[in-house]
Amino acid sequence: MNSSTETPMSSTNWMQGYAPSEGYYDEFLGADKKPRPHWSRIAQQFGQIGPDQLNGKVHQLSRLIQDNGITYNVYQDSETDNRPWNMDMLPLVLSGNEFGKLESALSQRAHLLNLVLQDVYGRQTMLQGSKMHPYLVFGNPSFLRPCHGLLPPRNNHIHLYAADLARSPDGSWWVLADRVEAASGLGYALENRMLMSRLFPKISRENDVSSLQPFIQEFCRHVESLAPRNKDNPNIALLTAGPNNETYFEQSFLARNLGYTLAEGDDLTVRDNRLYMKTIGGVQPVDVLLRRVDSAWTDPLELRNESLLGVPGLANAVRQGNLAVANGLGSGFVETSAMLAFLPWFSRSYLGESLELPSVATWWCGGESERKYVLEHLSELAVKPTFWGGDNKSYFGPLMSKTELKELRWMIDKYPERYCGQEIVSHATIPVMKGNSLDSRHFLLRVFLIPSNGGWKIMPGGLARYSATPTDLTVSMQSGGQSKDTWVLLKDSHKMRRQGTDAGRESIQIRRNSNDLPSRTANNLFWLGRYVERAESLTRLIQTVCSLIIDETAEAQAVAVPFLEQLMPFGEDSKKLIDKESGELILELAESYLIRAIYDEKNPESLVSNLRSIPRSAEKVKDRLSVDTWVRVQKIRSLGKNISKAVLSVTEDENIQLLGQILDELTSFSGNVMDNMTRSQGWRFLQLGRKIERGVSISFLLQSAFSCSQVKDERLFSYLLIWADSVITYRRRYLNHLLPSSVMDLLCFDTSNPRSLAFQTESLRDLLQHLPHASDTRRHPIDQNALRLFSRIGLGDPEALIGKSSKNPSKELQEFFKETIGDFSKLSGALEQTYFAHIAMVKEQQSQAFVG
Amino acid sequence: MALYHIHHKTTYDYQYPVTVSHHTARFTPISNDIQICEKFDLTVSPESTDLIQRVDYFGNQIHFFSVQQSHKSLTVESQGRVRVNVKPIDLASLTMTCGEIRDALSDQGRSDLLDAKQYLYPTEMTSGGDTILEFAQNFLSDEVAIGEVLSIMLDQFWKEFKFDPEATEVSTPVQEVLEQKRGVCQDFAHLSLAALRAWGLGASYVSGYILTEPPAGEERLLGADASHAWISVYIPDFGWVELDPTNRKVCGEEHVRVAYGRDYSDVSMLSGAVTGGGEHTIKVEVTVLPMEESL
Repeated sequence: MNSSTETPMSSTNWMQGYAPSEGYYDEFLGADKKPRPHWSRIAQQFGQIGPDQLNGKVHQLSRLIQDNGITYNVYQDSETDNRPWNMDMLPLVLSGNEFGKLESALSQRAHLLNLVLQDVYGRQTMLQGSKMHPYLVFGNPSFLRPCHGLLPPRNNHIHLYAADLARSPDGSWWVLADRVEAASGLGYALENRMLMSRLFPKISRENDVSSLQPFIQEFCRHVESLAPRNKDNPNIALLTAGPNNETYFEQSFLARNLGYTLAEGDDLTVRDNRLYMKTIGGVQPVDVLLRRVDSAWTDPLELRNESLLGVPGLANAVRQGNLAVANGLGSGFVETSAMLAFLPWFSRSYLGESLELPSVATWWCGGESERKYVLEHLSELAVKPTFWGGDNKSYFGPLMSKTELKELRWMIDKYPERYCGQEIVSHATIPVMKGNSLDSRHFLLRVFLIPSNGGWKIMPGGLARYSATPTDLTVSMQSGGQSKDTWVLLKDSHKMRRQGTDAGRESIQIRRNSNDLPSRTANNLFWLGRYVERAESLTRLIQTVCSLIIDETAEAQAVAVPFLEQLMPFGEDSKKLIDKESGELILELAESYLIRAIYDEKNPESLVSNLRSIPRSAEKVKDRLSVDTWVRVQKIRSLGKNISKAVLSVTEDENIQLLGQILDELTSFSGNVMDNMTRSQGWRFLQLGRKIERGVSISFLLQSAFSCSQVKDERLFSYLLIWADSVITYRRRYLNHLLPSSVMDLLCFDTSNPRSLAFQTESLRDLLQHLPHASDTRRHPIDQNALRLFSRIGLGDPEALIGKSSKNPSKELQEFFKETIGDFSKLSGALEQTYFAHIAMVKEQQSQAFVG
Repeated sequence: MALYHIHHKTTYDYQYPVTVSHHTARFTPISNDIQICEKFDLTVSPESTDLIQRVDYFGNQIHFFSVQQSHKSLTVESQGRVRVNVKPIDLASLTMTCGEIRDALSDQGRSDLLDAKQYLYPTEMTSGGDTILEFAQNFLSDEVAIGEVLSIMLDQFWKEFKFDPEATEVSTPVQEVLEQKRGVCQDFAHLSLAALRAWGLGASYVSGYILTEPPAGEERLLGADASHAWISVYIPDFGWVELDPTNRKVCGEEHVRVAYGRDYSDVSMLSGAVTGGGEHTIKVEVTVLPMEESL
């Protein structure tokens, strides 16, 4: 941020003394142990950062990662565990000229892969001409027959191509893998760049680092141009597998940055062979779908029918020319390991030229001489399954015992076509920061290409990932690897053109239509609001009763009845709580209801059940919650998980403390939501849920309180005020005279008291005005219900409700609350009907089995 | 020569209303060199506004439709007229050995056999493994003529397997069918395919109908028939031979073919994805009615 922190302060250069492992190409130091030319200036500038500043940067980085909630989910861990993103502060620096060569070589490759896809999903000349073994197509689970003949947009299956590159000791690159099914990493690369330009604005600006934005903008234009309809203003969605996916963070990050709506399968529907998004503004057509769900899982109707991630009819929408999907459905076919063995062949036969960038040497064991070679060199090779899927895994020859090698050899002999041997390639090294010095690591570089002007364009950057330890050759984010930003220096010829673009500031454009909130998200936020409020209200209720039991004499404890009534199962009579002879509260019975209300997991209304529902709902809307709010959800989750029914009496200190802790967490959650959440439609649905829930619980309690037989007991009202956290307010207004009508006024009709009924209805009025239905010209059912509710509360009169003779509960009072509760529930129903009705889950349905 | 009128009616009744449903249907009898579908009609109720027909990857007719109005019941009804003209093949005349067939099919250069090669590899429903291979050895041998092999296979299913609709479901793996030696036509088709493919032979799954004769002296009951499944085995330089392991038959004019695929999942007559609905019940009525040739 502050560029003055980058000025030299120390004469000792912490980057000196870097000693990479021998025998590999090192990105930073040349064979002469001096920084390579394109590094020299950057290394000098980084090297001059003093230890204190460096330390400051480390903290700044972790704060940025924390604040932006940059995470990577790790499959093995529980669904909630997502690891904070790891980025090394030293970039990988590459020269523009070198990157230019990569662009040319990878363009050829992307073109070739596209031709392979066109052929296999089209005329299949490779099979007809016996150039491809039938097993690699017909036996390949990635060859999706329903996609055969599907014309991809512009006859191009690949719209974002990623390649994993490694550098050999002689400095040349090779391709380890092609990624087209769901080319991940682009979001993380952008994120890394954002972090770097925040950390080192000056260094990145002064060194002609290529900006990523022009590439991203071109990608956006390209994606938009794919729209078969609605070309002027296409609707684009990014299909995600959801919050549990390992790269969910980057999917939501990409969607936000590209201005596309992030959608799960359930957010979409196909009607009349067109794809639509189900939003709170109704169904809206989608013209282009950028997918991060593997092809096979995108359409339960035609592809994998057990998929819950897809949209039934999606493939048909593509087939009818109403939808473009990128990358094309079925394009994962070219990721087949064995394909690497045949690419040089294809290149010669399709293009009449050899591959500009070699793949890592691969032998498909389905061929006899290849099998022989692999078996002879098994201990030096990696062995990969020909097709991924099931419990297929890779083997690493050098790390296997004799017995393991023997078993593998036996399997390859038995099912040769299922295996590929692959050379274990050397990965070049890069310096990474380790405290205030440098250590070396092996790394992989993922680069991205998009179609551009009939050819391909490479993103001048990429995602560099490196191994967890200096000797480890496997690079995987899953097993603790880390990442780096990649800086591609502008070619000399481009420097002049770089006017006005500022590589140091990677701007982020966010576009969002307020009514494109997916219905499912709105529904989850609404229920999140309801559960949080329900838990809070319940906690307050239980706390009130507990303190009442602890503080009051046996005779006075009877005022707990209307509170306890709220906790009793529907239909049970609260009269049984009172001993008929003594007129006192039967403590054991009261306690049993309290215990049930707090700890009973089988009681869906219990506190523990609510605490567990909160994270479940929150999980589904994670991308809408701020990082701090999410931290609160995690706290609530652990409270809900760890509650155990160890207490014998609710008056035990352990129980009292637990209730206090729960209330604290719930209040911090609400505070966070109020302070940190943008006032979007999503926020409104969360608030709607809270307000309705609070309105209902106030109404129920007041109804019980003002119609119970203890209604003349002044202590009842003081506990009502305690429950509503309104003691101070009341005293300030009415001193210590506890008049039923004043209490009723404060808790029911006072619009300035956040815990009054009127306050809830006023908030609802405000929230409802901003929902899409408010712009309807006709009066909507939501408004009909809301108006009836608002006017009843608005016109209510506490004196009249309580009645002159406070002998019996007045009929008006009963009616008033009954109708109010009814209206809240009708309003909630109308909201659900209008905004969430079309979100029911899709189920797969197979026909009957043949019974012939 | 045989002429049939086929009537197939499927009714789904749902517990709760279904708001939207999407379906694929493969009911149209295929037209090829042994049979011709002369007439076909598919009706959906409630009405669908987006019915589309196309030919799938395997050459079968497939219909797509969705129902976009709330409904508690769905009826899909197909009617067709099919003319079948084929003589059952005499298995004894098939003298090529299994070893020779396998060698031909595994020869990458023989692109003339591509049509059979696409049915060469195991699928999820016809997966191989040691028990399947062991079972295959009961009738498969590289030195023996394919005709003899297939005839032994039919005998084996007839003698050792029991038709039992209660024993299996759509998803029952072939290994389990083999273990309990019980199942329905679909299980026997899958198991025989798994064995043949494990041996390196190419064979496809066939869905269709079979003519059933009412007990002597009784009238034909309408709607009492069922859809059926069998297999088709490829023999180079000869062609396809259709066999019905459930009925120990070489298929002829009693069989009406609807669709060919690698297994049941490729040719499922009716499948779908529904929104809502809760539990459902299915009622299926099939009638295969032989017609007199009218001039």
